[in-house]
Amino acid sequence: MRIGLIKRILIITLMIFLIGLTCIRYCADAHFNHAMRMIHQGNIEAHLVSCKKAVALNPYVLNYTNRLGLTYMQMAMKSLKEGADRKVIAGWLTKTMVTVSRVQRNYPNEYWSAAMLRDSYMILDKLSSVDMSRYIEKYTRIMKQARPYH
Amino acid sequence: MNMKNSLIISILLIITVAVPLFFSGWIYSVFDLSKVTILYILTFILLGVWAIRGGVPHANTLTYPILAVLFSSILSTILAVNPYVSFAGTYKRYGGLLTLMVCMVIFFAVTEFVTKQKIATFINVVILTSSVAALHGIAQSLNLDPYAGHWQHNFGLDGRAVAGFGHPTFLGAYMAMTLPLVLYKILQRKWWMYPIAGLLIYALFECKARSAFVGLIVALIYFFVLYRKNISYKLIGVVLSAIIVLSVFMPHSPVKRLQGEIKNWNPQGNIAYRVRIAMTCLDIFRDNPVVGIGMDCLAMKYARYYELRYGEKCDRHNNRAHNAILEVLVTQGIVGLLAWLYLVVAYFWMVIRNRKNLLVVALSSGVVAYGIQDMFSFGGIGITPLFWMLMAMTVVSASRIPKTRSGITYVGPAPISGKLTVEHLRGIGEL
Repeated sequence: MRIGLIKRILIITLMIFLIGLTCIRYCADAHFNHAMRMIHQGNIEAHLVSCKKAVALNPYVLNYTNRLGLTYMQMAMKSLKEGADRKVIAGWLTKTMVTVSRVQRNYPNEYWSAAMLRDSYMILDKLSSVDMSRYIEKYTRIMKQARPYH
Repeated sequence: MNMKNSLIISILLIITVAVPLFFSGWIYSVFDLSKVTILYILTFILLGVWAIRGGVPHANTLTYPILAVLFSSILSTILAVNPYVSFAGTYKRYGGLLTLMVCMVIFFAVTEFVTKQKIATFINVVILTSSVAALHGIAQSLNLDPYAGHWQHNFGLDGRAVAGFGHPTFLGAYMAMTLPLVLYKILQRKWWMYPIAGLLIYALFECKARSAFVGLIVALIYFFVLYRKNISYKLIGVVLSAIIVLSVFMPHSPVKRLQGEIKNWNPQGNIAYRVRIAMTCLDIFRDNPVVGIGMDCLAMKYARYYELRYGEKCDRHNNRAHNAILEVLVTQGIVGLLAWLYLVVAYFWMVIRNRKNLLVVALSSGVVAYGIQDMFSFGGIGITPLFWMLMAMTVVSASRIPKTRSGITYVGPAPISGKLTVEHLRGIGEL
């Protein structure tokens, strides 16, 4: 009797866990949908909040992480054009690199994340006195071999 | 036990309706993720109820071939270029191992819990679902889509009907798979099925999907050849005339689309590009012949191989081979192809042995329609569960021994002189 009850509890727990995982994936896409609506409306703040939620819920989707990385990158470029403080630009670039490095971990040699990493290191190379050529070469090499996909 | 069986059958019926029709405008991947979410949730509930109920699926004609397909898929996933993608599937298509396993669960649930008597209910539900999808598709082609503007996705599909499937080829394939079932009903003297047949054919034509059109034609020929003795020529005449008239006179027919493409031949056009896809896939297969590159991983390799072969930049992100055989060869290698061939041969061997059974012929015609359209397209999440359900229902209807409601199998009447003995009941494990 008790074994039967334990078995039932285990089965129901596993079922809830699997359904929960499925729902999390669905919620992540709902956040991403909101993020894309916000970027079309030009609301970067709301876009970033939703995009971060999507990446946190499902870090394995290329589109979510690369989109977040791209927005950070665009913010860095905008700050650069506006002549913002170095620290502000470096902050956006760091966020870009941290975000898209996750893509490189999950999808080794992925094209778009490699491109964003290379561009980030190129800007950092110009901004700072630290030599970034090693990283630039590394990601340029990946870009030459990889091809974009989604 | 009976309540749990009924619950499982109810879940299967909900899957039959919900997967093709459900989509959500709240998410970015409006169609595929909506469908895969509802499919997974319902299948996990089904599995939970089944596990609490207890009992292992009984072996049937297709158990070993399906296990072979599962084994080859697991092998290709372990050795894939990206095992995670091969397991969970890509963001857009969700064609990984997990979806395959979910479909296999549905297959075994149908063979285990759906009785011959219940198949009629399933067929009615499939026809009802496809009729709703057809009406939605026709409304779309008339610019009367009630959901237009609810999603961000721009189809760019030239006014072709998609219903809730996300792509015209999937809607067309669903119609082609359902039409043999409508034909089966017509042969059972359900005359009110004639307008439904017309509705489904019209919706298929509004999709302008050539793959589904070819699938339907081959499925109908297969149907009539296999069941020729008991079919009136009047019926064959009505069905074929309807298709010919629509092909010739309807401005949006797949035939007209094909004619247009041949007249205005473009080496970068759809048909020519399919040849390029096939050649590129063969190159990938040559380098990964045994277990392939992993399920749903084609996009990761495609562009590189395309450039190597054609010396030009690949501007299309292909994640499907658009041919079932090539798809299996590339993603699961020779091992996968052999496993799938085993399944196909076992299935059609079973069908041939039961070709006098109209229901078996009708269900297998639906499978043929799917298989043929799969040679020019691919199986989306909206249509794949129906393919597995049709295969499972064929197994049930081909089985010689009718199941009773309780799941106990009645072999035959007891001898007049004797009593009903245990030997007359199979599947006794549940007692």
